[in-house]
Amino acid sequence: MHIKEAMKTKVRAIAPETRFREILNIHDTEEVHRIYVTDSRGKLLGVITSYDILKLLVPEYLGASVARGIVEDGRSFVENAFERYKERTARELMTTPVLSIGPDDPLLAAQTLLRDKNVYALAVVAPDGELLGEVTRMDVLRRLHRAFGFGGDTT
Amino acid sequence: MFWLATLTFAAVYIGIVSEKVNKTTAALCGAAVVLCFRVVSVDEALFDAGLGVDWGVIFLLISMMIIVNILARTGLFQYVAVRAAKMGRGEPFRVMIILAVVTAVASSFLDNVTTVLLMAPVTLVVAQQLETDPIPMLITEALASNIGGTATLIGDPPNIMIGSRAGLSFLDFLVHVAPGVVVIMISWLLAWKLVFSSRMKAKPELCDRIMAMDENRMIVDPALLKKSAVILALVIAGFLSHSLTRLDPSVVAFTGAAFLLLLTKENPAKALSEVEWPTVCFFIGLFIIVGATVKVGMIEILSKQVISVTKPQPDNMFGLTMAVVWFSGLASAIVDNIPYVATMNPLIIETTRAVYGSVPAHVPPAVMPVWWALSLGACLGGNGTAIGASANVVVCGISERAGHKITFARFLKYGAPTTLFTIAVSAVYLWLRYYVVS
Repeated sequence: MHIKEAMKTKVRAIAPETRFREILNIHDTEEVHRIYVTDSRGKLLGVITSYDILKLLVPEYLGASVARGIVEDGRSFVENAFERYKERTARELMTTPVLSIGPDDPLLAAQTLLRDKNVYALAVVAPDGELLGEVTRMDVLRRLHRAFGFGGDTT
Repeated sequence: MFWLATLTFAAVYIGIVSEKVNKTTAALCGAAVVLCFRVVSVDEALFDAGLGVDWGVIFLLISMMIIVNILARTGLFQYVAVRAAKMGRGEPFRVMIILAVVTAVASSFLDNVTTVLLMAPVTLVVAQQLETDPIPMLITEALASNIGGTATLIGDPPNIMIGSRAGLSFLDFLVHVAPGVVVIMISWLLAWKLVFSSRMKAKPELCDRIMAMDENRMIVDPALLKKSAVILALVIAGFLSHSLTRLDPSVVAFTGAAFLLLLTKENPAKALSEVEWPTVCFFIGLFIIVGATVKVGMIEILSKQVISVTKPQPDNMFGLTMAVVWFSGLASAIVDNIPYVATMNPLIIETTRAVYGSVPAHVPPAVMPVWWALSLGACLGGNGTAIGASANVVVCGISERAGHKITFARFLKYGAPTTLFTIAVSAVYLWLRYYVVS
């Protein structure tokens, strides 16, 4: 089994000049967890995940134990963060390099990478760097399930 | 051998000060050189406290790190910090002063870096809620942690080293240094009041935000808190009862750490992974390098210079005391105070030997103020610049990540006057207490 049999080809990509407020909008309205940043020829530059956005909106210094004792609804923290980042571009905010894998790599390679790096998804990238799609934990497990039917027949 | 040891020592110092090489790497490489060329033998490096590693210091450091790291996870510090902010009724200046006092007290029993790592994030939250500039509060905390750390044997690594090398107990520090630190802290905060009290104001409705915070919800793990607080209290009691038990502080702390692991069923792999091994290894390397400079006689030469300038007498070392407090204060603002004290310890011991003919079993009364001068100078000197003490570096890092960059110049504006002021107060304290009153 290879990556190309498990991967999704429909992924959300944006240009590196996209501003943070637009990114938030895309994240919210399209409900995508990962927004890939590509150049005009489709070459993968970076990624912005829900986790990245979460980290930007909540300050690092606010720990969970203190947060439990704050009565305010958190508006001031998020507003400050939004003011600070709204004009920043995807290029400035993206995570790079992106963990990626080739379409012809074995599925086992994706499994081990997902496990070792503790990420939810890998970008699937052609040898020339072009973004082809992504493969998530769910995609890998679904493909394995279909192939081996593990978990048994419950009927 | 003399030149090899001296050049290695100089190279390591230059490496550390210029920040071209990581300080732990520099110290370990230096130690490797003096060991390879047999300036000191392996036996001397490992088993001779005068020429090698002072394992008492190493064990005390590791043990306290284990205890404090477990205590830090309970939420106690967040609780105390928010209580402090509420005691200040949310008025920024009052909050800043109370947080500074809390930081100083905590630092006198815990490592300074740990204290500011725990206090600074809560301070940022408080400042954010009050919509006030957090930078004065954060710098004040870093300064307070270095001042507070000076008060006890375990408050700051230089004191651990001084206590171990000179044979001074926890109680000695409490009786001789702590009162001075209290005087220093109070006079420094009064000076701060003149500078800041009119400048910091917050809107009343923002103060209400602080008053509305619920600190009781911040204790994450009450059971763990109880266990680690009991152990910490027992460890401090163990330090204080040294004259009865004759147990070395390192043994007391080590026992505390070991039984805390047993009591809390913490995974030792996790608790030990949080020990700052780079700092521990930095100490090990330094001890070996400085041991080499002692062995080849470099320290002896330096001590002769010191004697010819300050003219210490067996019954009066006023000149030496003043020279040590001022020189240490200035030197520690530039050089890391750990290698500085590692070098000064044998220097003072050599000087004692030269004055008395041999090293007395107990610290002679005339030499006591010299050790206190070293402690006060080295610990307080760290306040001088943003890189003078680890706590400063940590606070600047936290602040920058929160979007409030503290420039070197901005820190200097607060730190340099604080150092000059606190060293001056220290000098007056030492003069009055040891040369006027007694």
